[in-house]
Amino acid sequence: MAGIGFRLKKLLDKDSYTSSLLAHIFSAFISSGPWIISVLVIVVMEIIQYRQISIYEVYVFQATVVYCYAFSLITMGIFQMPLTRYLADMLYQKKYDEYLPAYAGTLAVVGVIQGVIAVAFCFFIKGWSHFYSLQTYMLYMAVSFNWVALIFLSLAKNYLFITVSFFSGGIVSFTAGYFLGKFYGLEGNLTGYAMGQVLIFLLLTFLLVKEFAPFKKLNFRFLKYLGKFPLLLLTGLFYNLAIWIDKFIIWSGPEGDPLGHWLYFAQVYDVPVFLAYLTMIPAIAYFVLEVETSFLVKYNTYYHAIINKHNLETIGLLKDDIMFNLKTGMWSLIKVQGFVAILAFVAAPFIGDLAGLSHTQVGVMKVAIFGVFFHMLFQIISIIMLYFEFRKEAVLVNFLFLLANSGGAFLSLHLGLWSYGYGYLAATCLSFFIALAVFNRKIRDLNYYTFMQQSIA
Amino acid sequence: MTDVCLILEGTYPYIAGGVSTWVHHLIKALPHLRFSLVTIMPGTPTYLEPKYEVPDNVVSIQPLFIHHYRLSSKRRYGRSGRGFRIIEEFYRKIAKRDYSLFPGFFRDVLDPGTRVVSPRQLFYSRKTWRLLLELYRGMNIKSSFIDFFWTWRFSHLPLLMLLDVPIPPAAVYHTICTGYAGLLAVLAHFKTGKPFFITEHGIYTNERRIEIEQSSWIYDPNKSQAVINEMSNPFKDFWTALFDHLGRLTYKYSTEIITLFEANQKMEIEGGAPPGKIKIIPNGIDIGRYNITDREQKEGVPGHVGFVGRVVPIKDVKTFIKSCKIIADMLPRTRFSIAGPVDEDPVYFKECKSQVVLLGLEDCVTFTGRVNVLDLYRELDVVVLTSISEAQPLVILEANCCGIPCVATEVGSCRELLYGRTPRDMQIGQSGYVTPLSDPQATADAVIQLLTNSALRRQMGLNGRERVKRYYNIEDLNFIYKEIYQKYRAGV
Repeated sequence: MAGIGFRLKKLLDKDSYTSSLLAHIFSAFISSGPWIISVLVIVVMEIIQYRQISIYEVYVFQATVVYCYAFSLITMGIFQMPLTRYLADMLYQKKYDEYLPAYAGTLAVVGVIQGVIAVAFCFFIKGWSHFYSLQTYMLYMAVSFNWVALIFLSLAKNYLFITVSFFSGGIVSFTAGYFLGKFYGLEGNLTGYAMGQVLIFLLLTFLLVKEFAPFKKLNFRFLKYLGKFPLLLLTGLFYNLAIWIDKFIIWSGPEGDPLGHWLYFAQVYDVPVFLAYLTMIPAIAYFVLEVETSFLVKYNTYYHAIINKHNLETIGLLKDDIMFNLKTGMWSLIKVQGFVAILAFVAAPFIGDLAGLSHTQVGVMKVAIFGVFFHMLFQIISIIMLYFEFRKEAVLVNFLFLLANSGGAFLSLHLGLWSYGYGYLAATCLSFFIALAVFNRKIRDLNYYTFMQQSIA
Repeated sequence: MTDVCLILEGTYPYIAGGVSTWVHHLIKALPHLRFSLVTIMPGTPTYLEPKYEVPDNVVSIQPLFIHHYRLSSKRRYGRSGRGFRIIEEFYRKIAKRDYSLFPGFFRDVLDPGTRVVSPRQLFYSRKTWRLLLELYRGMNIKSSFIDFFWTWRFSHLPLLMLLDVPIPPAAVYHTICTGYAGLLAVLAHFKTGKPFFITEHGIYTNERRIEIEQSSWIYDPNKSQAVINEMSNPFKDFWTALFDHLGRLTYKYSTEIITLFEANQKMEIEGGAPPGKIKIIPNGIDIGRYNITDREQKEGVPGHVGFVGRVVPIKDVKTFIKSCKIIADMLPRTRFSIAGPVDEDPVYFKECKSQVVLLGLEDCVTFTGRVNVLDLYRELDVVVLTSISEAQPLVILEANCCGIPCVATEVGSCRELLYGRTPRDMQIGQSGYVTPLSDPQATADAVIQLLTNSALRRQMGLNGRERVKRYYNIEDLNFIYKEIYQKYRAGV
């Protein structure tokens, strides 16, 4: 009798758990790393710029650069995580020859999208010369392409070369900006700065070509991942929007200086907050190290035990191990970031003097330093959520962060200058504790989610 | 509203085979009854070409793809806690083969109209997870939680797929096996309030058990150990238990249980069928077609022995060939025909051919391939069957109907067919010999007996024809089904 019995697919062989998600971490931090170098370059350039151009022009320059970063980053936020996921999958399947075609394909797509946005952004600002508009356009595109290159390079893990590239680019930006500024003023500053960014792009592309198999043909397969992982797409967008939304709101307030048609800048808020961001560096370094050496081992042991047919008891013990590791890791991180924050808080007046900050700006920085403390912890929890494929929760807390940071900024506008920075602090603090609570609830039932939430397609 | 809804699994009209052919003839023989068909198929939805010309009295054919996993969220709003409590209780009881909670289980968990737990909830919820953990601990499995988990998923998914299937309205539901089709029949009975009954050709639970024991895709935790012990495999046991439960549930709610022969009846009783419900209705053949009376009865001419069947291992052709050697040694010039398709298992066919050469039988043994059996039956003196497994082999009925005695191994219903089942049937007399399995000497002895005694041969042939006419006439047997169907149509 031809009964069908149970001709079932043997899904057990499918190693669906261990897709390499490590890339998420690097990809998440690349939105911080280059930004930090850029902030440094801008701060250093500001010191020399005062000898070349007017204060107003310095503001225009800074605002231009900041806008380029902000808008390119927000747009890239849409691609960042799905693209990272795509590359991680390719890496896992050892399809290395997909890389360069995908890189070219991404550049093409991003080039078109960012190109259109940049035209609107650069050429419709009244009071800009055509040359300045053109240079801004070039800077915007270079910065956008650098994000793409970094996402691809986050998998190559050649940190030294990446750092060297950014450093060289930074030096070129500074020197070229300085010398060209001597002769051409503001336009010279910007051209020089943009040249550095273009150099970074060329260096990173060189590294990519060197690291991965030869280029064959444009490949747009990564676009499928945008549809496949809508939650990742939103997470990236919400996060990148959230870290800029407070600036946008402050710009619209009484402290926002109009520079040209719709270019704004709020010296009193932006500069101290950007400086405070620099305090993230030690914690980032610590986290990357910690993840690579300790957490990842526990994480892999857990999933391998499942796949290698261990019993529930063993799996349970390994789960507890992960939780313990996360807990201790989180505490160490709090200590590291806490120590840096307190140090920066104490040193704030000296840093302020060095960077030429006003009394008010130093006050904002002091508050923002603690905002960065929670910001950092929040971001790490949100990355770890992605590690465990808690995508719904990740998008939720990032959306919450976006709402909270907007709300905080509006509240600051309402309360007045003294409260600037407190909105950011309140938003990051709230987001962190909620993210922690949400994550805690999920991780306790890791076994349930690991098994029961596997799809059956 | 049709008269009969047939619930089929992996057979008519999409897959050709014994059961499908039987269904086809049954429907054709009862043109005044209207049938609807639900055919459960493996895999995911694709277009399936019917392998039979479906008669006009089939009103609807509904294929149901059991591996097309779409979990319904439909449930009645209310607290699902009660549903989960009854699940827990129900599973605890069926472990002791007590299915008394099924009606409540059906109402609160299975029936889309009244259930408080949806299949989606059942599949993904935390409460289910907790029950699973309890079950796992209860099973005392030392290894592989992941295999336990996926065994649970894969075993329950197809069941969940049956819950929301629209049931064609009918006066009676007739399932042709237990298993998934059996469960669907039980569900149909509970949803519509109409009765259902079952006709089992092979014993599903047993077939599944053998399949599971031989399967390599179910993880065996004992294999990895250095010393292979006699420990049972918990995952295989899980699957076997599932089909056993489905069988018992089907038997419990079926109004009658029909099978082909007595050996099956015994297995059904072991599988939980109440003896009082079981009835034997064998398969029949078209008497008119095999009524060959002009067969020449040769005297003194060398005999012609036939093997009618596919050349595949289950038919054990090799034992037949070995017996040919013994017969040929005693009665040289005897001819042997192996009639049946040879393309199904080419490797086995090759082995059989080389065995013929090895035994020096090239001159007397012929592989005829696919032939018109009626022409062959005109020539044969004895028909031999050496299968290691059969249900109710039609070859014996056909040969007997043509007046040819048979020598068959003791499998399926061969004994009933050759010696008679009921006392009255036995009075007709033998129509051949039953021999042990894989015993070429016994087979050869029986054949020699028949070839050397023409009076005996003729008598046994006549006995066979009489028996087939009296008890295995397909028209009579279809009439029994007609009466059963009409009984339900009248609402008796």
